[in-house]
Amino acid sequence: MKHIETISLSSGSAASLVFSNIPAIYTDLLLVTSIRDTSGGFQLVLLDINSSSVDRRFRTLYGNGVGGVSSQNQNDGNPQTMIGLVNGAPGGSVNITAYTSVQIYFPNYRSSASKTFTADCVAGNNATENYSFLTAGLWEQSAPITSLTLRTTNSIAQYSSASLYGITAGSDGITTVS
Amino acid sequence: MVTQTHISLATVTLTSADSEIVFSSIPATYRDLILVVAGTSNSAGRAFFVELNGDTGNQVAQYINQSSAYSDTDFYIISNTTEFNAIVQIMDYSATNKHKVMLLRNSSADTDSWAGAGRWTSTAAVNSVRITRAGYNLQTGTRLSLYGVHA
Repeated sequence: MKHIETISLSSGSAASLVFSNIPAIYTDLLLVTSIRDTSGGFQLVLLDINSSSVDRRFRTLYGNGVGGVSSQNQNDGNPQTMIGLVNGAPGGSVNITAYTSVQIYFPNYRSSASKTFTADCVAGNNATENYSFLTAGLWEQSAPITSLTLRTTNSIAQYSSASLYGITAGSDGITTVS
Repeated sequence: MVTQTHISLATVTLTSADSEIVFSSIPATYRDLILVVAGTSNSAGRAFFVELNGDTGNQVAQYINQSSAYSDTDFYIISNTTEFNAIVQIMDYSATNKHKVMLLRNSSADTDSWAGAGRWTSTAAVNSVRITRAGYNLQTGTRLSLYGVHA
């Protein structure tokens, strides 16, 4: 695994965290983020691929530790791909120092077939109400992934960060596959 | 920077449909293994078994998806006729003093999001991983990649 880029908000908030011009030299991508919204209460964590607003669908399995497991599906035509929830900044009813952790794996990001991804999200909160999400995503375009954008409902809060890694499939010269 | 994770061991992109893919001669060099499968199959919702060292049994597993949670005596990935991916982590695969734990994340955006946990009830070091389902195929273009993770 190779580190490609890290974006950190050391001062102020931002509308998005954007990884652009992703090198076309790896097999898979891994995006890891610690992220928070500027508004109070639970807000959405959103993902855009190649700035595309179409051909997206996802299914998510989530729970909040209070009730049973819930799910949500969104098919083509939905304006945004939700991969989890994030706690907001002071002013809401959630812990002010908790950031949400998200890991998103993109296999075969350069494939000419539709691109899948797997996202795991855990919202940080120093209370009994919290959320974890397991999301299956699909971007139904043949173009390779060249940019990834993370957004939240409002703005991304200071001290949020995200890192992108590239993974290359190959051979060690010992293991065989048939 | 030295890479400690996702060290490539072997990969294959299928040039024809196949019902069985086997990674063999896996060195006992790493701590964990990660198997990544991305592609399609000729049957939606079909389980492709993940068998270690050619053992067709001796597994227990728990799964959860959007509609149910259940247990099984096999550990598998769930395929789809549209693009899906499955990520299997085999923890401490080269240890000879413990059973082998496997974790699954399986994503098919038009059918389901899955998580699973399995255990191969053997203390043998894992030296092969077989993905198989008799009578069904992973389709041309499906990529299967095996990676090692250092401790």
